[in-house]
Amino acid sequence: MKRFCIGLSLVLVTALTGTATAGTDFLIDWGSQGKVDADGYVLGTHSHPGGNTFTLHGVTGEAYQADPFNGPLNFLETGSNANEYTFELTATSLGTTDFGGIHYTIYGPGTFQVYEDAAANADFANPGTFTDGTLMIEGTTNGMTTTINALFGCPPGISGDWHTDLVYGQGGTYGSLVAGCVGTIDATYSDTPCNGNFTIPAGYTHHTNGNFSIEDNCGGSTATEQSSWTDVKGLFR
Amino acid sequence: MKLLRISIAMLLFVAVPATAVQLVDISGFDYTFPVTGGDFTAPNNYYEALGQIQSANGTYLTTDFGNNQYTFYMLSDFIATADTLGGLFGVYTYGPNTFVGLYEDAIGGGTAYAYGTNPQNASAPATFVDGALILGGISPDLTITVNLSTLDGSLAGTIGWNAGSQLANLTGCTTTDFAVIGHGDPGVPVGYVWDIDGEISLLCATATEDASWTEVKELFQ
Repeated sequence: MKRFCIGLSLVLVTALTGTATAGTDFLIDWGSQGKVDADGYVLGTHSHPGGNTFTLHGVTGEAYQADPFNGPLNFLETGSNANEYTFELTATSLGTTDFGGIHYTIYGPGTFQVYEDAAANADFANPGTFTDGTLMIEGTTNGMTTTINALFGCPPGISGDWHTDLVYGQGGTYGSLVAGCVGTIDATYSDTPCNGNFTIPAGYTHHTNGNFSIEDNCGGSTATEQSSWTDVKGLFR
Repeated sequence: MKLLRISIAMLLFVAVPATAVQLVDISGFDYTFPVTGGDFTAPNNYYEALGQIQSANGTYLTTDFGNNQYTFYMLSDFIATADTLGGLFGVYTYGPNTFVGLYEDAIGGGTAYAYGTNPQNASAPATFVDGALILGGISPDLTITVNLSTLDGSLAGTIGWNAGSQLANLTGCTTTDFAVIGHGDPGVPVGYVWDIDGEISLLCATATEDASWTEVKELFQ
């Protein structure tokens, strides 16, 4: 009996609590299903005058991506999850600078919301379909910039990228899984189809492909794992 | 006879305009080699990107994500031009022979892809280019744009496909373009430069279809 008790005590159930590290990994990947309406955008100069609003709409889910979720939201990837996941992000332009053909726009702080919807109804002709369903997660953006490279015409096309820092909030059904975590959005950004390589629906100005990321080891329901005392001691050496 | 002519005339073959579609969605990491550390402009240095295919267009690629893993690999030509604009952006173009390959490898019996560290290494690119080459091609115009302040950036270009077991599937497609973002992140495996995410797109002619005059007229109403 004594031996049995010792055996039990040596097999610990250790909860490895997450600590923020500098790295990030994707949380939600929207593939090519993102479009931006940069209100007041001047296509001829690739500029977004200050005071105008950037609105991102997009959709993802297992119907769109082989691996749409990761990290604290990985449980949504069941292999048969037919729900649609749509999102909206808004921020206000602070103006565009032309660096000799590289058009660089800086944005003020913004907000984003992601919705879970059993109805697969996302339609860029009807922007309201990206904000219906149940609010799933939300947060704020900061330090957002967009870059359009208009130097080389087509090909390779007028291409670019946009980036923003994120802070995930408490709101939404899964807000508790990500609240307080930081992350980024890193995405392609194009205002002119090159050879028609994508479409920009009426009412939108840019095509974008990218993802929401979240810092490693932050958020989620941390899983437990079995460890021996030797393993636990090894963590502190 | 007159009736017959009329009925023939009313069966038109209408060519619908070419349609832009996504071929694959990709994500992974990139690096430079043999001069490492993201030196995009070193002479005789290669830019390489590799990773997984997240989704594929079933109209043009036959895939089975349940039983296979799908990967991609890009190997650049040498640097051709390097410009710095406004002290903030680096714009780099490469020679006309950047290789792009898409691969299929069985999950059971194949070798799972692994990034490892400090590429090229024992598993990268080896585990990304094993299995079957389903599409291979050449990009003549790879362009990388880097924000020299944040060290984030993007790459873009066109691809002329010329090899692979599914090359015939692209008959009728005239151009292929790719657009990828790169994000520098401390979580990137040691030796890699950017966490990358993007897509390869196609412009394909849509097949002709029969239409009556009434249907044609409706297109213009």
